[in-house]
Order: sequence, then structure tokens, then C-alpha cells
Amino acid sequence: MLTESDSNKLLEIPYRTLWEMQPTDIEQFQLHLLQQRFEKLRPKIQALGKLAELQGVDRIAQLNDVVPILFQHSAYKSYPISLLEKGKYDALTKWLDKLTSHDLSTVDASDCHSIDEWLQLLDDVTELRVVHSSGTSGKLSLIPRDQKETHRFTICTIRRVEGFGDEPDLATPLLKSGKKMAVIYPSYRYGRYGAHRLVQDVIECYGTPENSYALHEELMSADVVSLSGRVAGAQAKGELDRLKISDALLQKYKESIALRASQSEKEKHFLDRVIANCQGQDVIMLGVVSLMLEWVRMARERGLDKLFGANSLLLSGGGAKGLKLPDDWREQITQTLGVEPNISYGMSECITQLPSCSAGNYHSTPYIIAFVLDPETGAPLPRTGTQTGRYGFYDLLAESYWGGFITGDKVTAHWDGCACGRSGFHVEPTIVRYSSISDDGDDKINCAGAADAHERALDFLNDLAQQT
Amino acid sequence: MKVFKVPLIIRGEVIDDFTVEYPGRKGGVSFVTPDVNKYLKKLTTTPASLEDLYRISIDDILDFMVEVGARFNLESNPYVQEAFEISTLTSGMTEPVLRAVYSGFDKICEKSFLSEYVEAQVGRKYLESWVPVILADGRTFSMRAYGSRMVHAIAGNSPMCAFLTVLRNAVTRSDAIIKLPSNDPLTAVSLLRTMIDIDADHPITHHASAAYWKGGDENIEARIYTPRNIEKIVAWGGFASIKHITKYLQPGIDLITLDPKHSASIIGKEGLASDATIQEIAWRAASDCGAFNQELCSNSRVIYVHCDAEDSDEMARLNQFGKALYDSLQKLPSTLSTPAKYRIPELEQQINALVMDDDYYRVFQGAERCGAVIVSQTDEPVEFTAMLACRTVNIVPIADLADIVKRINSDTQTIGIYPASLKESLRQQLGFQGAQHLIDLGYMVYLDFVGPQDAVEVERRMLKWVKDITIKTEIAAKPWEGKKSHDALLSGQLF
Repeated sequence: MLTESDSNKLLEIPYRTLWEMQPTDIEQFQLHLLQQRFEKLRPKIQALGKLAELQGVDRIAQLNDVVPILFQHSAYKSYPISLLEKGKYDALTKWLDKLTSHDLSTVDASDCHSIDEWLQLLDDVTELRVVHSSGTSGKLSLIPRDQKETHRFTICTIRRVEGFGDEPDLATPLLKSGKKMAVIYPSYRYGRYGAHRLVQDVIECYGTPENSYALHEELMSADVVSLSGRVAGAQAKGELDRLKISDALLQKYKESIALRASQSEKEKHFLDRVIANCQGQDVIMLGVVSLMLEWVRMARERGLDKLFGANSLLLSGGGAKGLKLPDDWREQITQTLGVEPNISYGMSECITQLPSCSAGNYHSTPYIIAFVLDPETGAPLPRTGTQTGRYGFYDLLAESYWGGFITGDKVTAHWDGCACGRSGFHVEPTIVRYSSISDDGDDKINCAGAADAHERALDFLNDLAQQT
Repeated sequence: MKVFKVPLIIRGEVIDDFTVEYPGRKGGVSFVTPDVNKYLKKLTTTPASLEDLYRISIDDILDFMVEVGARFNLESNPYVQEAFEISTLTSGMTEPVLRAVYSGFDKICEKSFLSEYVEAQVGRKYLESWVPVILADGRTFSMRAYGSRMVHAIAGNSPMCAFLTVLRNAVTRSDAIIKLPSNDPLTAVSLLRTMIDIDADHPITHHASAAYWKGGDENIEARIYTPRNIEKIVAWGGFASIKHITKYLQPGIDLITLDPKHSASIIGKEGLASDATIQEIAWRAASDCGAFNQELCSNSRVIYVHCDAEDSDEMARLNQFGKALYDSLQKLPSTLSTPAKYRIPELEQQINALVMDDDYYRVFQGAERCGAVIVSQTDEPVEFTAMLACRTVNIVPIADLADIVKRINSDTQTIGIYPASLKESLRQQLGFQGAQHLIDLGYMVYLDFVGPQDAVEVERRMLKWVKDITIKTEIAAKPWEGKKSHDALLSGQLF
């Protein structure tokens, strides 16, 4: 039975141990820690206080009691977009302050002129390492994760390759030895997406800046990410006339498209550089499966096989969700890149990711209190057997912000053991977003609605960039 | 689960060879229907077949429609009852609202109204005769409107779509193949069956067919949607469904789209002037937002109020309006609006995320399925305006009237405006900005189907406008005799 409540110490416990725990022990541990988190965070996080008051939740007597106060996935972008458009970064700081236990009241953001500057300021003067996601309308979700939590994200990512039973344990030697490995990230080196924060921390702890390889050495600008969404949003609403884009922002956009020009050429050079420096070495490579497959293709063209060392970590963030992959994608990557890739189910809002097992399922750890919710009513389904519904969770490794979330994902989950031998909660790989499914039949026609204009947004921006 | 039967109706014949099942549609409804593939040849027709429609007068047509209206009665007509029953399961409208809609057709089918409708939409004379215009140069130019062979891919959010399509087809003397929507597969069928019972050989009965096939079925659509078989397509709603139809467009096929739309309201400063005006605009806005459970594109979803978000007094009154609007929505008569039939978890989640922080949004809501009023505390609508439904409304304060107008575009169909003087002063700009229907706030249900729809004169576009030029040959210069006299004709000197 776990009794530890310090997250950093918890993460010293091997996942192998956790995956052998009995369900009753897990629940007891989770409840105890959840109660602590609620007691501690409620007075410090205004938004949580408000929600708990509205929902009439005063104490947590059982795990399901937290369900009414799980945050909606849109809670971290509940600010008006005009704060970004009009550069009201003081107001944005004030908004964020309501979502974290860190005190932001002394942060003076009045000199910030862009989202990048504001995020940099928070990096410089607070413990926060805010993670943003892309927003379809230009509103970025801003998750107030702090430095310690960012590092926990790294540990959890590496623990994914601990294996179970007879499977090789690639994580423990790395975590224990202080060994430095080459780090490969085929995208922007800097930025504030979850993946960028991870790469930074991985390089700091398990690599060196000199022996790290990114496709672009630049910062992925949050302003540019937001801009594309804003243009799409304005276009969808027919409000392009009202959209004001500053010259400075347009300049940033131009730089970003210049970087993306001749992308495939750059990818080839990037692979050449990696081959020259890392062939046969143990590496940590972070990237999605489709991209790894692209590397397989390019490596095969060069006649390469078993590119990296046998103790390499190939970590894919998003798993294979929504992608059409060849049946033998796993074998192809293992053969050509040299190690089996590890995919997981996770999201920016959650520190722990659920690694995929040999049976293809995604496994939780006791640090996540998982919920399968009725998609209509939001009520928790029984914590037994097999359940299909909306996935919600409480992330116990979050200590400075509220770890409870309701996702937009439809999952089929099992509370009993898995064929791979691990005990406890796991999710089948058939995850889909509720927003992508409809029970209406395919040709229900309602005249209410408006055209989706996302695809046209980039054309507009590119035209604008060329004209000026 | 009840399995409904959706027969195929082809020109007065009811085909009930139910071989295809469409299981598990919305509301747990499944239905069986004949395989349209087997009847494609019968379904389409030739231009010559329209001849019988010209043996009867517009009066004959209207008389027939009056009888259809009289027989289209929820109390006594089993076809209507079945259409109503399936609609209570598939429609977003609740039973009392649907009952009111299905009970209103006889009123629309009064002869006096139908005559007015024909006059307003086309002008009866164009449907019955060659209408001459004598030009200054002495030529007589005459014009007459003829029906077309058409497919109507109709929407199913209101039974009105089916009814209006049948009516339009009749008065324009056209030939309709109605492609039924899965959310209302029986209203058009019930109308056509009522016609068959009245007179299976009537030309109007003979030129109306209704079929269900899965939208996008290329086997069927590629064979129907060709200039050999049809001249025009009227397509309602759905971005995807219209986008899909565009691939069949070619010279010889005219597409009339009734695009997906949103609607809004604009309220001037006068609305917030006193407690009494606030209550007045609350009732009016409640009607425009809540009628037919906000299932129509003409239902308001966003209300722009001329109000300064920086002014705390004005904002206090705006929030008072928000509360009053929520309360008024709850008190609407049940024949007009009721608590929603279904929940939209995604929308509820979006609203719940706003509730945690009332600096930027104030939310008024009550019990489940009663809707919500979200009052923006800045001049910004919520991000999810496209999801607003089930009587959920967003009130947005905007300090500058000109800025309100800029937010209106060709996706905005109907705008209810208060007070009337504001409508008059804004309507020119709103017109070229893209708005299509303007009406006094609170009276959206009076929009009716007289006048253009979505800025299109649908009946006129359904028709083919044929011109005939008559020359006074005894005095007109003959073109073949040389340029000079032809020039003279053109300049009118000969007369």
C-alpha cells in the first residue's frame, strides 16, 4: 500500500510495482491523496472554489465525489480572445492567476506585446512553465503547469518504456545512471507546446545541448499558432473585415512560412545530420508515428537498417489516433530504426501518459483516477468490468493546479486485468473524439449552421503575407 | 424499437417493396424503404410529360392545394399521424410544438392566402399567359414562366420544408423529385399520399415524387443528376450535403442553394432604457430565440445590444435583460416552445467552463434542458456560437452601432431589430452586408414564406422564363436587306 503523497517521491517507485497493486489498495491510496489535493487547492485556486461552491461539493468522501468538479476541457481557454487580440496581457495574467496556486499578483505584464513575450515573462519571473495547445479559433488553452510538474511529465514519459514481466526495462537504467544520450526532435527546438517543454527538460536532464538535434533551431511562436486559428475563426464568422493583424505579427508569420518552405529538403538534411552523429548510438527520439515511418522510408532509401542503439527510446506522443498506418508499422520501425516505438494515450492536461502494452491497450497508473462518464448525463459509470463513455480523470501528480478534467474522448475501458499481465484500468485503442461522431445518420439536414472555413484561412494569410 | 415504413412515391404510385433498412437513426428510429436503384427509370421524366400541367389553370391548382390542406389534418389523416409520430422521435422540436406545426397547414391552404402567395412570389399572369411589354421601337417582348424538372434535397428540421416544397412545385407547374431527409422522412410522403387519395390522376399528383436514399449515394445520384433528367436542383442546408451536390453541376443544371444559416438580433439603446423596455425586449427576444425550440435557421442565437461594456450602469441593465430573457424563455406558450427534447453535452460543457469565471461571461441557467442565456461582459461573443441550440442565447454588448453591422454577413439570415426606427436606419447597410430577412424583434414567426428566402426568389428561380419577341413585319426593316435598315430598326426611327 502506497502512503507517500509527495509526487516526486512517488515517481521513484517503478511502474512495475504499481501495475501489480490490488484495486482496493489503489482506490484507498487515490482517495487519500485526492482528499489532500482538494483540501489544499480549494482555497488557493479561485476557479475551483467557484465550481465547488456552484456544485455544492464540500468534501470528497469517495472517488466519484470529484466528478461534478472536474474541469471542462475548455476551462483553460475561458478567456475572451480579445485579450490576445488587444494585447491585454495583464488581464490574461489575472485570468490565469485564478487557475493556479502560484501567486501571480506581482507579475507585471504591461510591457508584453505578444503571447511569446508574455510566456517568456512567466518563464522568467515565476515557477510556471505554461503549456499551450492549439485552438481552432485562435484561443490557446493555457495550462499553468510549473517547473516541478514539467519534470514529472518527463519522468512519466520515460517510465513508459519500463516494460512489464519479461519485457526489457529501458527506463530504469536511464533514470538511475545519469547517463546522457543524444536527443532527437524533428520539429521546432523551442516552444511551449507540451512536447517542447518535454524536449527542453529531457535535454537538460538526460542529454546535452550539443548532442541534441531539432529540425528547426527556432522557437515555435505561440502567436503564429494563434493567428492561424484566429483567421480561420474570423473567416468562419465572415468577420475577416474586422480582423486586425499587426505588422509585427505578420512578420512572425512570414518567418514561420519561410521556415516551412522546402520542408522535405530540410528533413533529408536533418536525417543526414542525425545519421552522421548518432548512427549506432542510443538515442531518445520524440515524434509521432507517421514521422517515424517517414524516417523508415528515408533510411531504407539509404540502405540503412537498425539505425539506433538497442537501448534507444522511441517515444511517440499522440499514439496512432486518427491515422491510417500500415499493419506492420511497428515492425517496420523496430527493424529500421532499431528499437520498438512506444506509443501512448495522453493529453496536454495530464502529466501521466498511458503507455500502450503488447496487447495494444493503454495502461493507467494509480496516479490517474480514471472515470468513464455517461456521455449524455456526465454521471460516472461503475468502476468495474468494461465501460464505454467519455473519459475523465484526476491527475494526482498535479499539485499547483487542479488536476481534474473531462475530455472530449470516447473510450472503451476495462477495470479488470489485461492480457499483458498488468492489473487495473486500461483503455482500448479505439479512442475517438465525440465531436467526430454523430448518431444522427449521415444525411440529416438542418439549415441551421454555417460553413466551415478553416481550410481557407491559410490561403488568406499567405495572400496577405505576399502582398505586404 | 419501431421500424417505420417509408414508401417510395412516384407520380401518383405508392411503391411499398421495402427491401432496404436504415437502422438506428436519431431518436432510435429505423426505417425500411424500397431500393431506389430499381425504380430510377420511372423516377425521372421528359420535358414533354409536363404538358398535362398546362391543361389546368392556376385556379385549378390552388383549388387542389386547398383540398390537400383541408385533408392534411392531424386529427383524421393517418398519413399525417404517422409523419407526426416519427417526427416526435427524430425532430429537435418537442411534441407540443410539432403538434402546433402539423395542425397549421389548413390555415395556410386557404384560397385567399394561396392567391396572395402566388401573386407575391411570381405574379399569376406570368404563370398563365404571355405577358407583353411593348418596347419603344415597336417590338413586343412577351414573357411567360414555365416549370422545370427538379430535385429538391430538403431539410428535415421542420415539416414546413416538405410542405413548402410541395406547394412551390405545384404553383410553378414543375416536376419534383423530393429527396427525403433522414430526420423527417415522412412529411413529404404524407402530403403526396393525401394528394393520391384525393385524385391519383391529377396533374399535380402526377408531378410529385418522393424518395429516400442515402445522401451521397453515387449510384443513384449520378444517374438522376444529369441535364437529361433534371434542369434544376434546390438544395437545403448542410454544408457537406451542398458541397457534395456541386460535383454534379454542369451546364444545363442550375443549383439553387438554401445555405446553412444563423440568425441574430440587434437591439438599440432604447431597449435598456427602463425596466419596462427591458421586459418588452425580453419577451420579444425570447420569442425569436425560443420559437420552434430554436430548431430553425431563422431563430436568433446571438443578440447584439448597443451597450458599452465599459459602462457599469449599462452593463447592470444588460445583465438584467439577460435574466429577464432567461425567465421569459421559460414562460413561452408550449405550442411555441418548451424545454428541449435532448441534451447537447458538448454545449453544456462549454457553458460549464464559463460559469467558473464571471469576469467575462455571466450565465443564467436553471434546470436541465431549459437552455441558458450567456451575457458576454466584453464585446465578444462566445467561441461556440455555432453550437448554440436548445434555447441557448448569447447577448453581446457593443458600444458602436457600426461595429454591430460589421458582424453581420451572408451567413446571417434573419435579424430581428428593436426599435422599429433602428431597423429603418440600419437596413440599407445590413442589406449590402449580407443580411437576408429583417423583421421587428419578437415577430420572427411571422416571416412565413411570402417573399424571398435567403435573398433568393426561389419560385422565380425554379421557373424557366421564356421570352417571345414579335416584330411588326409589315413595317420593320428586314435584316437581310442591308445594314442601314437594320440600324434604323435598332434606333427606332421606323416607327
